[in-house]
Order: sequence, then structure tokens, then C-alpha cells
Amino acid sequence: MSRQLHARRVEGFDKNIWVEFTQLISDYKVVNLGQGFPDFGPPSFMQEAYCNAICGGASMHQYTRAFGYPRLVKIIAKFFGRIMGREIDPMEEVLITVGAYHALFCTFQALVDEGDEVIIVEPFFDCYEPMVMMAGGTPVYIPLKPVITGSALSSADWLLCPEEVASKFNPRTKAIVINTPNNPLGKVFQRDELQMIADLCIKHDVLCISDEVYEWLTYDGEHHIKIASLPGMWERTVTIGSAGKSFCATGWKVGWAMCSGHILKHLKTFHQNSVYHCPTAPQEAVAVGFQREYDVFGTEESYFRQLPAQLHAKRLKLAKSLRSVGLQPILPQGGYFMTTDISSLKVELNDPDTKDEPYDYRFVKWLIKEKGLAAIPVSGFYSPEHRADFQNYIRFCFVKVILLMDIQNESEQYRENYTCKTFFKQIIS
Amino acid sequence: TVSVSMTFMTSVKQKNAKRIEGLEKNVWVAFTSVASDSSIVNLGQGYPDIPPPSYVTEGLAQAVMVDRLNQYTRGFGHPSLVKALSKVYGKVYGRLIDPFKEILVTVGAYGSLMSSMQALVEEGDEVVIIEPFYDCYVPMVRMAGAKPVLIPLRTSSKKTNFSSADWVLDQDELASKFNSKTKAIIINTPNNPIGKVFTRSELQVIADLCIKHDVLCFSDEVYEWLIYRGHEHVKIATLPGMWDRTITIGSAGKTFSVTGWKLGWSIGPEHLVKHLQTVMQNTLYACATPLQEAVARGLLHDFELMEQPDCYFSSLAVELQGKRDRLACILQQAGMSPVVPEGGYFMIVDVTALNQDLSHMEEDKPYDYKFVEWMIKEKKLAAIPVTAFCGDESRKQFEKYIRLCFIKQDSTLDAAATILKNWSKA
Repeated sequence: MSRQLHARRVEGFDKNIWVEFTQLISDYKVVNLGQGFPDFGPPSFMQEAYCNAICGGASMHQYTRAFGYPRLVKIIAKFFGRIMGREIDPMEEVLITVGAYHALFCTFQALVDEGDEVIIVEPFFDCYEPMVMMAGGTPVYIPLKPVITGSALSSADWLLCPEEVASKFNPRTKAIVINTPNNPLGKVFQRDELQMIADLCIKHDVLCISDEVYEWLTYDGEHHIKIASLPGMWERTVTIGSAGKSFCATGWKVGWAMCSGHILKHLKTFHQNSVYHCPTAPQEAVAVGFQREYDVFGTEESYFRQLPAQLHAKRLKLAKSLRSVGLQPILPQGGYFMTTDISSLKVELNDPDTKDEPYDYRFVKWLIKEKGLAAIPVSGFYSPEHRADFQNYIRFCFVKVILLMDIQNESEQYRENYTCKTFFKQIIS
Repeated sequence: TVSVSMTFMTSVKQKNAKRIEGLEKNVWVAFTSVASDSSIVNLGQGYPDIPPPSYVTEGLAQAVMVDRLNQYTRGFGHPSLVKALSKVYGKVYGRLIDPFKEILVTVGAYGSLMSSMQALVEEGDEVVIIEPFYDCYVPMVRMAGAKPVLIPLRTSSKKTNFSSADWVLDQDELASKFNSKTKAIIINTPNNPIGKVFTRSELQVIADLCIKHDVLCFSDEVYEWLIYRGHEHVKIATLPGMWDRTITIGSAGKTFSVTGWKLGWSIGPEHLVKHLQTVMQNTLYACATPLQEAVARGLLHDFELMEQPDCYFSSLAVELQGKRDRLACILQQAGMSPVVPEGGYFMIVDVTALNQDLSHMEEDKPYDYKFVEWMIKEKKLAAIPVTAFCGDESRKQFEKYIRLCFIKQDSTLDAAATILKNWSKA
């Protein structure tokens, strides 16, 4: 064809860190601590619920209500309504989407226009930037910074500077995106930090997009706080959640956006003109899961309680192994991931294919190809202007059973894999 | 002073983005809520009330029990699914289709339409759409910032409109719609709602214009397997010069009678598909894994049976032909004039002869909208008004038609038959 084929909105977005690294990971035999998904399955009650849905009659396999299967939106409204102490209207204030990813996309497309600025807290889940730009918006970045330079031992040590945050707000600011618990750092925003952001949103009449997919995964007594529950914030916040992350079923791709009806109606308009419906049977299964969690919430039986307890140990084990080989992990307060400073390891990276890439990209590719271990480079979670300053961090996912395996007692499937300590010993040798 | 809550309600900043302006209305949202009443015989929205093949749903149950299949898969399509699609369509097209570069799996065919539009259409572009059209085409074109250019299928005045084959495009009229701004044409074969199956020579006319004006073709072929005796589904992408400029869209939902699975696919040349993949990775990232695995297994199952009567791709069409003929017959007996479709699972029917007086219904709506509302209320039978599928200028041409879906159990069609038999009684 003689003329330009593609629309300008896709220009510059062809590279994608997940596409790049999942391809590489599948090409090599690795222990995958890279992409954020569990290497185990969802709880059996979820698999059972899905199977029951499949056998639940012909209607389970046909179109359901476009904005969300009724039973699911009702239980989500009830579940989160109880947590937030407010009546949430399931039909007007909850939208089911194809994963939280799609909820984010609907939100940006419905609300962001050319000329709008959207503040993004760095490091950020990489999709926020292209999504804002595809909607014609301009991303404005505000970095979390380690308070004690050189020895930030916990994600709690990474903070926003209130004056710097305030300076990013102006009449063109349409929204701010926050992610708590944060990917990749694992920071759990405290009430005073959220209040600082809320005050600015109210003062400047700005929307808040709150990505809370890891909301159940908090450790060491940390509490997840919903910014939408702060005074004056329900009316201006889109809260995004994920069944995939809540129930360790990332492949189900069921998510939601929850907000006041006057905002949600715009997301619905976009949704009905983009995918229109989400699959029916998995929505029924997620509804069953939420009903169960509603009934046992706060008790020992709650999966939302058991999962973080299970991951707590894996998180500590990974941190210990990383320290044992001289790396500096940042212990996350929440989420699936641990970010580690790799600057103390001096490795000869002689791969000519990667010589123009940031150091962490090159390091991770070397780790995958030479050491059989996958991680994700953290500079991919930074804006182009700040990327160069953050080339010494890589991210590990610890939602993996493999982290607790010992070479003696695992199944044949894992026989050729090593314990955590062995991997990391290999790195320094 | 104005309180904070008042300020936000009228705030300029909380207004929606321009791209969704004027796109809130949707015919389905309105009619599905009306027809969710179980006392109404629903021949409206297009989904089966017959069960899907058991090996397909069993495949899903099996997939869900495998831990790894509950986690993320490849963004552009689960490997086993794209390979199965490559196999099936490689045979259909008679060409090698690269599963990784020439196929994208999407959230239903709807998602493929959306990805194609977002990837390849923008402000300043025009997109030709044939009326009557599946209603989402126009809003999607507008959301991409482009201008829809409509052209209606027309019947010749001599015939009495018995078949969807009688509805054709005027070639000169079609040619007049193409200009230097034309980026793409959307075709749908078999067509929803009429059921027209475009012939090879009709597609050639379109192809010639695409090649002459350097225009892309988005070919919505979700009903590709539902072709009735005496007709042939032709893929425009197989015409000379068309593979390189066509995105062909298919649907698992329509193929396996599982509309609630919402999986579809786009097939085309790498230089086009790669842009759809870029859209995918920045919008949804990936489709659901267990559903994709189950569709892959279903496709492989039927691939083995292709060209045999057992193959679901053809056995469903045989089953539906009977239902089609039965519905046409009972509609005629009730005094209406059905347009018998060559493909798909919809039938449009001309209700003029009934002379139903709807002047008591005051609203400024087209006749078919009023007729359907009246029919739902008075006759407990649901259909969809055909003017929902066309632009304002063609309203007069289509407002005496309603659309009925016949992929329904015999008991549903029996109930419809009873209503239609008793139509003229008080």
C-alpha cells in the first residue's frame, strides 16, 4: 500500500515488555520469576465453581448482561459496599471488564481526551503510559524516591514528595493514576499519603484512577486503604479490581471498575462499543467465589486471608536468598513482586545484541539465557525521562511454589530446577 | 458558596472524552431488557437457545482443571488455539497461514472489529458500510474518529422479495462512495440481518474498487459456516490482490453456538495484523486461557471431520435449514412476507401486508420500532426492528421489516408458530 496503513494512535506502541520477555522466556528453559502470575492454580473451590457454571445450563454459554452478569455485579457491590461502608448500586456503579487491564483501557478511553494531562506515579505498571497516550492524553510523571539513598530496605521507604506532587497539578490535569499495593515496588500507600493525593484531587477537581488489583496481598499487618473511601473521593475515583489476582486465576481475565454512576456511564458507553459483553461462565464462577468470601470474610477460612499468609513466607525466603548473594532486595509491604538493587553485582555482559539497551534489560536477558532464571527489568516501569536513573533494579515475582521446593522432595516435574539459593549462588560465580 | 458536591456534578473536567459523544444509545440494551420476560417468545437477540456441542463444553471443563491453563497465556492468542485456527483456515483458504503473525485472537468478533478500527482507521478517513449493517460498525468507525459512508442493499422493484439474493448493491452507486479519503470498506457475509451471501462476482466488484482506490477490506464472516443448500461462502480475501488488504473476522461464539464465550479472531497479512496486535497489547493484553484452550480442542475435533456430515460446521447449517424453512412458512401463513436468507440465522420479514395500525403510538420512532414494541406487548413475541441496522436516510426503505432469529429450539419455534397462527384472531 502506498499510504500509511496504521492509525497514528498506535504509533510508537509496538514494543511491549511482556510480549518481549514472555517470548524470550518461552525460548529458554528457565525458572520463571518474571511475569506476574502464580505457578500454581486457583483454589479448588474456584475451579469447582467454574465447572458448575459450565454444566449450569445453556444460558451459561450465551450472552449475558453487557455491563456485567447480574449475580456478579450484585455480590461485588455488596462485598465492597460492606468494606467501604456505603451502598453501592450494582447496575449503575459496577462494570465488569476483561481483566483489570481492560478496565483501565475503558477508563482512559472514556474520560481522557487530547490536551488532558494524566499524572502517573513512578515506577508504574507499564500499560498506563501507552493507554494515556492512545487516548490522546499527556502523561506527567511523579517518582517515588527512596528516602534513605542507597539503603532503602522496604517499599515503605519509597515516598512521594508532597511539594513535587502538588507542582504537577494544573488546569489541564484530568486524572492521577495510583496503584496500591504498587507494582513493581510493593508499596502500600498509607492513609496520610492517600489523603495528600485526595486533597489535591479535590482542590484541582481531578479524577483518581486507583488500580487496586493486589488489594488482598498485604504483609506484616499492613492495611490496604481504598482512596475512594476518603471524604469527597467516591464521586471522583474509579477503583479497579481483578478476579485474576484475587483468586490466583490470571487466565480468567475478569476484572471490574467501580465508581459513581455519573462517571461509570461513560465507561459503559465505551465498553458497549468495544467488546460489549464479557464471557458468562467465568463471571458466574467469580460470583460464587465472592459470595463465599463474603460469608467467611475475616475468618481463617477466607482465601483473601490465606493467600497473603502463604505468600508471606515465600516473600521472606526470596529476600533472604537475594541477600545471601549480596543483592539488596526492597522488602515489599504488599503485592506479588520484589524489586532488587543489582548494582553490587558486577557482571560481564558481552551480548552484542543488547548493547544499546538499558543495563537492567541486558542483565535480565543474560540471566535468562545464561542462568536459566527469569526476572523483569524495572526501568520498563519508568518514564523515558527517568529510565536512565533506574537501570539497577530488577523485579522478581514470588507467587511461585518453586521458591519453597527443596531438591530432595519435589516431583519429577521440578527435578531439574534448583532451590532459590542455588540459583543465586550461580549468579555470582 | 457552592458546595464541593455541587461543583463536581457540573464540573467541565469530569465530562466524557469526545470519542464517545453521542454513542450512549444501543438497541440491544433497550430490547434485551424488554425480552428478558420469560412469558415472551424471544426471537429477537441473536443467540441460540439450543445447547452447544457437548465436546466443546467438556473441553472447557477439562481445561479449567489444569492449573497452568488458569494463568495468562500468549497475548496475541493461546498457542494451541492459533495453531488450530491456522490448520482449519489454512485448509479453507488454501494457503499457509502463520499462526503467530497472521492471526490475532480477540474478545469476540466484536473485539476484532474494534481492534481493526483502532489499528487502521483514524480522523480524516472514510469507511464504507453496506446497509443494513450490524449496528456496531457505525459507532466503532465514529469512535476511531472517522466518517461512515453508507450504501444500502436494494431490491429490484419487480420481484416479491422472497430471497436475500434479491437484495443487491447498485454498482455505480457503490463506485461513487469511494474517494481518496476512503480507508476501508466493511462487508458482512453472510449478512446480518438479511442473510445475504455475497456471490463471487459481487465480491469481485468490491475487490476491484478496493484495489483501484487502495482501500482495506474488513470482512465480517462470523456466520461463515451457516450457508444453506445451493449457496457457497466465498472469502473475499481469496480473490486476487485481496489477501494483502483484507482482515477477515471469525467467531467461536457463532461457530460453536457459544456466544457467551466471547472469542473471535482476525486473520490477515502480517503487515496489517501486527497493528491489530499492537492495539491488543495496549488494551486487553490477552484473552482468557481456558476458553481459548477449549475452542482449540473443538476446532481440532471438527477439523478431523471437515467435509463429513458429522462436522459441526456443516451439521449445524443442516439443522438450521429446517428451522429456517419452517419459520418462513408460518410467517407466510400469518400474512407476512419473509425474506428467506441464504445464510446466517436471521430472517427479515416485511409486515406491510398486515396493515397494523400503530397511530395510537405517539412517539417519533420508525414504524418497525413501534411494531416490535406493540408485538412484544400484545402478541408476546420479540423481534428486532431492522432500521436499527441502517442510517437515517434509508429508514423509509427498511421500516416495514423486522428481524427474527431462528437458532432456537423446536419448542420455541412451536410457541412462535402458535402466536403466528392466532395472529388475526382478536
